[in-house]
Amino acid sequence: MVNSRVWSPGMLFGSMIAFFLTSPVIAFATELGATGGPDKPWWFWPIILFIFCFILGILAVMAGVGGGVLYVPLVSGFFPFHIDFVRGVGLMVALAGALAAGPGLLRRNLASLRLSLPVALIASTFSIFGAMLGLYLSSLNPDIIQTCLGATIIAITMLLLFSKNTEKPVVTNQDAIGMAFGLRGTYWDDGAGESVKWKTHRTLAGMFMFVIIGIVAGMFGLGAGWANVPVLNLLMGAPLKVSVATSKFLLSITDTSAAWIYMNRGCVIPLIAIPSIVGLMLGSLVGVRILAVAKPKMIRYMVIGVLFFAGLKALDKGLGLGLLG
Amino acid sequence: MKKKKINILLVDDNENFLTNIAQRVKLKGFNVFTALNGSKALEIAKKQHIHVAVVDQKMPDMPGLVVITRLKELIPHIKTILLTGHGGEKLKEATQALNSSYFDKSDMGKFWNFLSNLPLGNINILLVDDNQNFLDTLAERIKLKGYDTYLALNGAQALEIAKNVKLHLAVVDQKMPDMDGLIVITKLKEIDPDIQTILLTGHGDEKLKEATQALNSAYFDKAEMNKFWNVFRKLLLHLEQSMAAAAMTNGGNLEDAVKMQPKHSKKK
Repeated sequence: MVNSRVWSPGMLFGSMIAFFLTSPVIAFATELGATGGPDKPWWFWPIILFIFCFILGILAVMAGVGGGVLYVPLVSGFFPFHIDFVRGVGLMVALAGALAAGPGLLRRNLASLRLSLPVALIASTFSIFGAMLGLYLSSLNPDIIQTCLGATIIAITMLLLFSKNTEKPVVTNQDAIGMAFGLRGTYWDDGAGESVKWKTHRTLAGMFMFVIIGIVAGMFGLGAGWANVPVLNLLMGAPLKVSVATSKFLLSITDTSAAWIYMNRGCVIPLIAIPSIVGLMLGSLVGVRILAVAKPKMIRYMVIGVLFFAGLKALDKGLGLGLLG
Repeated sequence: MKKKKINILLVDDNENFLTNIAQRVKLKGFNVFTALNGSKALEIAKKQHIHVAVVDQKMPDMPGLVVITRLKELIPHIKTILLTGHGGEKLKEATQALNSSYFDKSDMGKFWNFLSNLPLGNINILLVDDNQNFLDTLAERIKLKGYDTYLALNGAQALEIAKNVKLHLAVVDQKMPDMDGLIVITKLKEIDPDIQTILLTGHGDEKLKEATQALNSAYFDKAEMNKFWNVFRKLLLHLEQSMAAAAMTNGGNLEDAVKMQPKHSKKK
């Protein structure tokens, strides 16, 4: 456990940033990745990946950004793995996190089954198409995927920076589809000490957005929390807490479908998947502990910055410009 | 231990209806016996140990209420249900006066609901321990296996339950405030000589083990299973709570994540 007396928030914050920016792991990985890497024993990359993902897990939690969305751009940018393997494992990483969190979120009545199932059906169907499309494009030329990934990542950073979620959106009239699916519920707000009732509107538009989200999630192996939350919250009018929890729960359904496609093609290699999943989950565990002691807002901007850079790098790699080395 | 099946007796003079309903009841995992009239039903009840009887009211040889009354004479603990297409408030009251359930054939949904909620396990297990947490954990696990549990925090409560309910197994802690587990076991066996008993203790020794076995009771050291399951359970719960907290950070709302942490909620 992190002892708050020993770890002052300032110290912690400083050391986190310093560790991330000067991390020999990242420098090492980038260097080896660029040169293709000399002959290393088989355990070398799993260990580096484990340490990298552990730090990534901590930062993802502290920055309030899903681990899945950071994993693909950063690992594909800094490690010498083929992008198909990274995307396949990216889905497994997001899936593991969602499955581990799911029961806790459902038990608290934050993740809504009613809200999840219709949109999950749509998103998971289209994530299969997305995964197939992604692998097809990648077989034509991996650069196409790199370029699209880069553009998507940059769009995500913009979304993370500028979208302002609403804690409790006001929904005056529920639409017919929302009513038919029973998309409403109640949850207990600990902070306010009251139970909050909610319902959705603009359900059809929301469902259409999940077609796109499904395709993007399947195509790039990104956890889709960054897109789920704004759609559920801003478009459909679910409260922020319900949107976040439902979004996480949704991933466990959506990503399962897409992960199958990657597994079926042999794109999930245990040597990459296991250190990544274990590293990220342990990192998340440590991350939430650190949050209780310090919540430096800077980390969010820093991580978004790193993500933006990774997006640029993917774009640069995909277009073959060679501007970023 | 094998789960005991529930024997259900279905009595109706309409053969088609009887076959249909018997098929559905079988699908729900019950043992089904059928009878086309009251006297046949009573014959079956004399030979088989029937747990539940579903009886039609209008039958050629005797009305359903008479069948129910006679069944209750044969098997006092039997659960009975009157299922009728020609019901009315009076019949309903008469049925309920016989301590029997009443369902109308025009509303079969209620009947199926009632049947689904019948405990399939039918094995009653009494758990006696002064540690509420341990008791709850054990009960949860036993319920998951499909048995019915009765909980007692001390010996007196346990004996009270044993007097009112037919118990098949009692799991008793040795060290309790009002009386020792061994005494509880002795008294339980006096109430019901058929009861199986297990002494569960964290403070055991060889002598206690011998004494327990002399009472024809099994003996387990709680420390071993307690340690293992507690560590396992805590780990899983901790992981689940932490990951749920981590998930909540995704919307950028870090305050919620902190509140949802396992340690934080305990401090509160």
